[in-house]
Amino acid sequence: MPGPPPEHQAGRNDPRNEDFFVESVEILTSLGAALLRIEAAIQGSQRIDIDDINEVFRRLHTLKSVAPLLGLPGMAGLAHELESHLDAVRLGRAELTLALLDLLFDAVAVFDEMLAQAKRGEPESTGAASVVTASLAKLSEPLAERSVAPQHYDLGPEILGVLTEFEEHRLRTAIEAGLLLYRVAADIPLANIETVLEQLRAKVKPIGELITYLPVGEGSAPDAMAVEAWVATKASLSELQAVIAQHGTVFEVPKVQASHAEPNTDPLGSKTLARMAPAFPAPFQAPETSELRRAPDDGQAGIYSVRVDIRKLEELLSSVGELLLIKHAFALQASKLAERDRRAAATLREVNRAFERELRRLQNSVLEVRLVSLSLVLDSLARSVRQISRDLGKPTQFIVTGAETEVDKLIVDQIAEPLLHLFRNALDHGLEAAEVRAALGKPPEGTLAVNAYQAGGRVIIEVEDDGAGIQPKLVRARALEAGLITEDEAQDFAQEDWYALLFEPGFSTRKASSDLSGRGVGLDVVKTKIARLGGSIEIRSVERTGTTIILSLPVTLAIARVLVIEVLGQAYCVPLSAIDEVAAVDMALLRYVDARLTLVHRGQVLQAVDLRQLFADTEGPHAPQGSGNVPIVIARHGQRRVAILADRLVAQDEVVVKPLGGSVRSVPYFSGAADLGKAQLALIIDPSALIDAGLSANAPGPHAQGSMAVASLRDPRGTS
Amino acid sequence: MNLPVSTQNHELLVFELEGEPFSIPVARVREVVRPSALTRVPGAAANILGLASVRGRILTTFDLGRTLALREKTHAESAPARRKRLLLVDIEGEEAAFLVDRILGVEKVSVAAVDPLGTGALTRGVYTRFGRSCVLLDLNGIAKVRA
Repeated sequence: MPGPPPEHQAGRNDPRNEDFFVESVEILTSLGAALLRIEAAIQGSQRIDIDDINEVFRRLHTLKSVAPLLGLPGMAGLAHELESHLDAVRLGRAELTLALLDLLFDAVAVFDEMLAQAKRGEPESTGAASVVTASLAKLSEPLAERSVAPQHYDLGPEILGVLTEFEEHRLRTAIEAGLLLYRVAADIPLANIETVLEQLRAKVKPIGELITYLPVGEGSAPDAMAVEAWVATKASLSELQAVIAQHGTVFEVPKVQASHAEPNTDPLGSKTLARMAPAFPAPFQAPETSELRRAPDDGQAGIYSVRVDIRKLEELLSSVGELLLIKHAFALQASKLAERDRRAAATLREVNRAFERELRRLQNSVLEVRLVSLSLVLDSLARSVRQISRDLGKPTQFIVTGAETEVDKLIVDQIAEPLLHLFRNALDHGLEAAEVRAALGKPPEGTLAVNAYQAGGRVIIEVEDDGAGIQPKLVRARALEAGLITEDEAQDFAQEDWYALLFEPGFSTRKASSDLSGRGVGLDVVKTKIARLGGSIEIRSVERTGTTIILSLPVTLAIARVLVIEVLGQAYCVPLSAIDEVAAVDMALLRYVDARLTLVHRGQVLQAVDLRQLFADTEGPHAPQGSGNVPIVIARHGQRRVAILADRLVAQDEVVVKPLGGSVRSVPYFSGAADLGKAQLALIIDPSALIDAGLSANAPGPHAQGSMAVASLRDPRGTS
Repeated sequence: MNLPVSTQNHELLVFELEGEPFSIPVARVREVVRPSALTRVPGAAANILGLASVRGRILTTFDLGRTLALREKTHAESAPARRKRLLLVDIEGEEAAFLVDRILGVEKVSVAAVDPLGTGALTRGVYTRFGRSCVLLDLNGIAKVRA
């Protein structure tokens, strides 16, 4: 019988702390992302975006307040030290040197580790933190406060007096950098003053900086306020006016004789890395796409968002699914009622339709809530890439495009590990050492690019490096050595077949990594993980030029459009996103070729899987059953296609996908199950597993030495 | 139920399987429901009967009789279908279902009366019930048992 209830431990194991842990991880992610943007700016000899520095400052501040709640006073202490330093930086009293930046990166790593320890329930160890604190103390002392009044402009005390120290510093450095100062007069409705000012700030940002704004009196309308904003920019008055458009009117601020002005004498060679003037690429330049994007949330948006356990959303979605089933029952009752009272039945049907519309909206809303931007995972991986490139001594440029692409939260959570695996492979085995690159005429700095976008219900993530590419002859040597293929089989291999070998479990050994300049370490693990998420993986490579790995994933795991098919009296679903074509073929066109069931369809030889055999209770060889026309579903996984034979095609449907329980999850053919209503459950077929299965499971006897040797490599149950 | 919790007694749900009584702690049972049609899972372990849908939840349903080696193969007609029930039980944090022939009741059994058995991955002991031996089960290990 149950003993006393488990001891409730306060503190670290308190479930309430889960939120703080999650928040801390988010803080560290944004912190890391901002540091990377700062580093990129420094390395590109560009001006550091002051917003990034503010972001680092703000995140450290939040971390300082959250850490004690997790029982991590040491962490709070270090965050405090760093925060003070960053404050000095943003006020221009200290410089942001590479040394300080490195220290900040170190600190993030230390924070990460401290969080991990706390999560494991270990007591806080502050050793690493005190190392960072000590190094911090050794950095140069904050500069003495410069009380230089802004030159070139005659700003009266009525202006200077109301500026905060930060604003004054911004103003001073902007003027020192040779920017022009403008006054923008605007009439802003009181109701949304914050929003309008934010819009103004955002509009000005590409070409300069909004230093401050001051209320200057009542506006033209009774509920409006007259505001004067001070903008520093390189743009001319008319350019600025064009940017600001209807938001306000731009006035010049009269300049003092600038005879002694020597703005910004040392534009690039300065030892001071942190030139605090705003990052202005050029007036009116389109926003760059290939940059680490700022996470949309920066604290101000916080009040509009709630953190929700995804399991609660799952329950909500499940309830919606149940309601849809109940709706079907209503419809059924309505048609029964029609025999007795047609008008009442019609009304009931009408109500039912309205009910369904609302349910669909509810369902879509819940689904949308599950979608999060890929930047959530890419931002933190960017830090890992930086670390790996340092560890390996291979300078790497990490370029991310489309980080804002939205994907199901569950997928985002699951994808970090395989992505990191791919990144590590690219850096370790793909990119050549700097000397080698130089000899090949490549830029010494390698490039790792991630490109994400949505394409027809799927999210594509391309991971591209400009390294050595995959050399088929090395793959071949390794495969022969590992006994994955025979010499005979190797004769008939095409380019894609070699790449396919990289995903074989037997291929991924440590030994392979040492003599392969391509990749292949643990790719089978990546493939399995991606396939479980309903995704596929593909490799393209050009020797000496680089490798691209293309992941294709469903946008959401929760809802799928499927084709319902019937096999041996039971319904199954095939995701529509994986279906190329549906057709009926004559059984006579099916035959075993080299021990594999194949089908000639539209002049092409397709691999085929007869589900009536694969799913049969009895084991052992079967010949193709039946005659005449059978329905087939041609599914695609990456570049490979498979013809699936069923008894009957039933209908298209939109289903709520539910995960399978532990003991059933190990069955390779299915990725989930769906309730079709009327208490009928249907398993959802994973076409990628069928492609593997088709290569060996249909064989009517022991494998003949086939000319397409891949057959002997695969075992449908052995891949999990 | 508002039965007093006592450390001296096991509170057990007793059910019948192939004519034999078995019991599990009531605290482990979430719910007892009438079985709906099961969905067969091709390729699953032999002691998995299939999937059951219980109010939107999809549950793996185990063939307890086969797991306990009470019979070679599942016979659908081993007991009148109208008496069959699904026991919904938490197995390592996940809800799973067990098809049993019929429910015999809930009863208290003194801890001292249960003879602990050292062997058997799924058994915790045996006690005498109306002159017959009744096996006290621990279903936690069921997923690891491959019948």
